[in-house]
Amino acid sequence: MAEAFKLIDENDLLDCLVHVSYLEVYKEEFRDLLEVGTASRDIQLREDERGNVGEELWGPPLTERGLGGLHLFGVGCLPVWEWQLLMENPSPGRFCFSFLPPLSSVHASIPRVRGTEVGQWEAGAPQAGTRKGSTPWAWGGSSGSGRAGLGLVLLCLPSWLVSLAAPALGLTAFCARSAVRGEGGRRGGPG
Amino acid sequence: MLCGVKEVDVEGLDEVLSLLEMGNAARHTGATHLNHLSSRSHTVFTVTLEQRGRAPSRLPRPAPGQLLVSKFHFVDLAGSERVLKTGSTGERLKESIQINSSLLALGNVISALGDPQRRGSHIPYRDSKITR
Repeated sequence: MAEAFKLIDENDLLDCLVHVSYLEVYKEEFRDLLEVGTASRDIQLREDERGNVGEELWGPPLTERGLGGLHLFGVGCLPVWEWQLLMENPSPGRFCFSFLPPLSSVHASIPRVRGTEVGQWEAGAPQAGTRKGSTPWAWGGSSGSGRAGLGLVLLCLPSWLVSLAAPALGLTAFCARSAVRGEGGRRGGPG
Repeated sequence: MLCGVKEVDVEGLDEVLSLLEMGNAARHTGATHLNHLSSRSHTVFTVTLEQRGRAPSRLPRPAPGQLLVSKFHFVDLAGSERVLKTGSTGERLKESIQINSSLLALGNVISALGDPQRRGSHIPYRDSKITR
């Protein structure tokens, strides 16, 4: 390393930038040793060659993410439909379908399960207002608009009926396109 | 590859070593019968060097405006453990299991990659975080 810095100092024909990162893998969880406050889930494995990372669906209640949503409250406010199309990045991404508890209180009381572990399909991202491939439920609106598509509602309907039949489980059907976030800013990493 | 990891710009070796020490201080260690400061995790210290050419030059220097990125990964693997020797129990035992599992996964990947008879076959990269 000393030699490298010496060569950098001696070479006037190059602009050099050196940065370091320090990562720990503890019990199959990532930890950022240069910023210990970073939560393990904020460190994400890049999954495809385009530099996109599938964001885990679990976390704050989806309605708190402020990206729009649709709630159909039944009698007694249960079950609750939650869906969200996260269109941060229109490039091909991952679509997920899973069962999640409907309320934030229930979120806290159930073991953390990643949505992507429950079940998922990968498919090309739909264009705004169009329908593509074998993911009719992902017939989405324009970026960030949260406009419901007929395909989405039809796909969610069976799951809604399931949750109606099993209110004791406190489950709600949820289908969403997980956020696909590219590498940005100074947040990068080894790889 | 990973996103969300903090990267710190450095201008000299002293800064690199300082950050390395800072990270080491935050690393998980624990006492076992064999080592009172046993590493309980694997670590990857990455130095990224970005070179941008400023004037015409001969190769291998990057041409003006061209960016050449090099990465150096310094990996410190926790050692495999025999539970009978380390006397690990409770949390230490769980850590031992994770350490040994990930080292096994790494060994499996290396074996698969190095075996010419298995060329083109499945490489079990996904069995552990350190091999993904």
